[in-house]
Amino acid sequence: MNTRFPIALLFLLPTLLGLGVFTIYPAIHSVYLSFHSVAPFSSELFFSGFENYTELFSSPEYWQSLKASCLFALFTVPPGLLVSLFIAVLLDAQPYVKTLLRTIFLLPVGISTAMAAMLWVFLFNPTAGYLNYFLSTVGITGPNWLADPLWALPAVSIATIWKAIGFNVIFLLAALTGVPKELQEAALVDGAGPFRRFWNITLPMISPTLFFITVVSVIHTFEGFGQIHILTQGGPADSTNVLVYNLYRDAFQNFRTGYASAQAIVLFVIILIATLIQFSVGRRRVHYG
Amino acid sequence: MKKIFGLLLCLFTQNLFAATDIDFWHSMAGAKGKLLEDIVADFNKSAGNAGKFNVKLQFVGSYDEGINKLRTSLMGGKAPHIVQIYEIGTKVLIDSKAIRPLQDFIDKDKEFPSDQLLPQILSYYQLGGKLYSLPFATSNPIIYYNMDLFEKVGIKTPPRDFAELKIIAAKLTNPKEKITGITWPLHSWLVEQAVARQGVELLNNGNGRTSPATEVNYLSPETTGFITLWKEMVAEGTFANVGRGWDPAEQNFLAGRSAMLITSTSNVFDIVKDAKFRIGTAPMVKAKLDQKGGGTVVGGNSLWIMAAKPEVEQLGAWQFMKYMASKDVQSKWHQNTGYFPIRKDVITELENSGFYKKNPNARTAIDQLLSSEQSLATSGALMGVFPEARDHIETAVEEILNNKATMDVALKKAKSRTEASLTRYNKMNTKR
Repeated sequence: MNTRFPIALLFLLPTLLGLGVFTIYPAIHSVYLSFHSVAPFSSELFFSGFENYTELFSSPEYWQSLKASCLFALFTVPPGLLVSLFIAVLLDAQPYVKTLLRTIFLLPVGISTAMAAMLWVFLFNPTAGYLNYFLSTVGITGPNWLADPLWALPAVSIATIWKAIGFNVIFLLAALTGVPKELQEAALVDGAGPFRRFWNITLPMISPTLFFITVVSVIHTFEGFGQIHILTQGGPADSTNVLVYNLYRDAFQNFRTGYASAQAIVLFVIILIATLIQFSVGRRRVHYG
Repeated sequence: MKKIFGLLLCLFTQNLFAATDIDFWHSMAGAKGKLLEDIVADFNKSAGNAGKFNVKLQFVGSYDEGINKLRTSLMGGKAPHIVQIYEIGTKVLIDSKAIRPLQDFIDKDKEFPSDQLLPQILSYYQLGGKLYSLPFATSNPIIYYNMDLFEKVGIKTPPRDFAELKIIAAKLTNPKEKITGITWPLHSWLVEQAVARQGVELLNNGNGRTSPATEVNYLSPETTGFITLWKEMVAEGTFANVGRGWDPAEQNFLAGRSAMLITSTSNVFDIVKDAKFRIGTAPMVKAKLDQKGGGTVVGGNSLWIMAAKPEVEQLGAWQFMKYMASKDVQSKWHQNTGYFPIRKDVITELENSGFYKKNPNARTAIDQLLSSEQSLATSGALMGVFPEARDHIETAVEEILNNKATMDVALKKAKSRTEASLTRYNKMNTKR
């Protein structure tokens, strides 16, 4: 072992302490709690074995919730990535207004989730909101965004994508700036068109960043809570009742700490698996220059 | 030496006369929170208090957040003296045994104005003849209507029963101008109110008041009747379904997009002030005109004294409770919010001073409250799993309105979900 290890540990201590108290201990305690039921409004624990887990997996609401979470990831991650990439590429080609536009796109990131969601509540109002007003000017009758089980999840996804774009664009812009000019020029000399150059040079060069954003976005959507709490509260008809929201309800409205802890453990495993899959795909597809 | 002695004297006397802190956790945001701050500051300065107690107000977020903070604080032994809890938290707090029933203090203190408090409000917070907490901000649902739009189509009076509501909503609906007849929040509270309005209990065992509830009456004709009306109006396009939460429906009405709104009276002054049209108010509709009995249930919140603190401090909290129930505070709170006062004499006084002539809309909810027949139905349902039950009802209504399930299927599912929760709650409750 390195002789400087104790000193390194000393330097790491503040972080380890924080992580230990606020992350690691609660996580371990959740595992413990998930095997108990807790009396409402007290800390009395009653051991209940795997009861919480068996109830969880036999509950149709939980499976619906898992489905909602997967759909939510599907509606936010790929479209969010495509839109961000599109904007980043356009911005990269515009050296003069880049800084200004970059700031504008980053603005939503700076707004608190609750504030941003409140704005969308106003925008999504089916009769008094701007969104349907603009749609009506081009002759489209807008849907009943947040009150229609078919449209609620897409609506929440739109609000989520809007909020996340700035973050993605910043990272992608940095990556695009890092693509060596010589490679582009060499391809140009070889007679490659703009699409070819993008596909064969730009994309592989920025793939580590794309990969990073994908992983982060997937984790973020699985943990997305604020916008759902304000926009739909899991409704209509449980269509936006994603895993985290279901967990929140059981933990903080229904006072079922044990059952909610079991959900937290299952959610942890799901995110772990999703991330492992992405890494195994990423290993083959990502090009680390 | 003299200096040190003086300093010691100062420290000593300060300690001797230092006010005892009374922590008070509340959930009133915005203007209502500021008003509460003023009320508390007045108490701390008041001659009656004489500097003995210092009530420290702390905003703990929404009702849900407040009750959770209380729950964790009880585990950590850091609970406040007084806490404001929403009405549906009543059963959980009674069962928690972490509170002191207000009745304990009332019985020992003749100063408390028991005979001035409205029995219609007290009955919600009473169980087994004991008053558990002090009702503070109480409200019920009323109809708000846009008088300009009413005039335009030549309707003079607001609806009184389901049939009139349907006809009037249809008359007011104007697809060309994008105006729908009526809206209200997709909230279980309105279903509960509609059922009580018809004099029917929501839960078995005396609405959960004679013994803990084990069954729910979601399939009663009174429940299905109201949801049928709702669904029919959505299908006919005369009801604007704007989803969960209180804000969208209010926003819709204030933008002139819906001609009528059913919501809590707690915002009546703001709504009248913010509207760019003349507003009328009317009591919540009955099912049928000739229907007898029934009434509305009070919503809102109440103040609880926690049991963990030393007796002296609990008595300080009790002094503050008496102040909160005083005429001045009740009158001030009512005139600035829209929640109604809990005292008869405040209503009489404001009546005599001409306040209700100037603000007739503030009177609607009070009349409705006073005319409610007192029964287990209008006292309101008590259950420890109310937040869950509300979610089950709301999910069922959403499925029904959006044709995702039939009325029977959706309500049966909601019923079995709530009853499963009740069984679990009752089981856990007997364990402790």
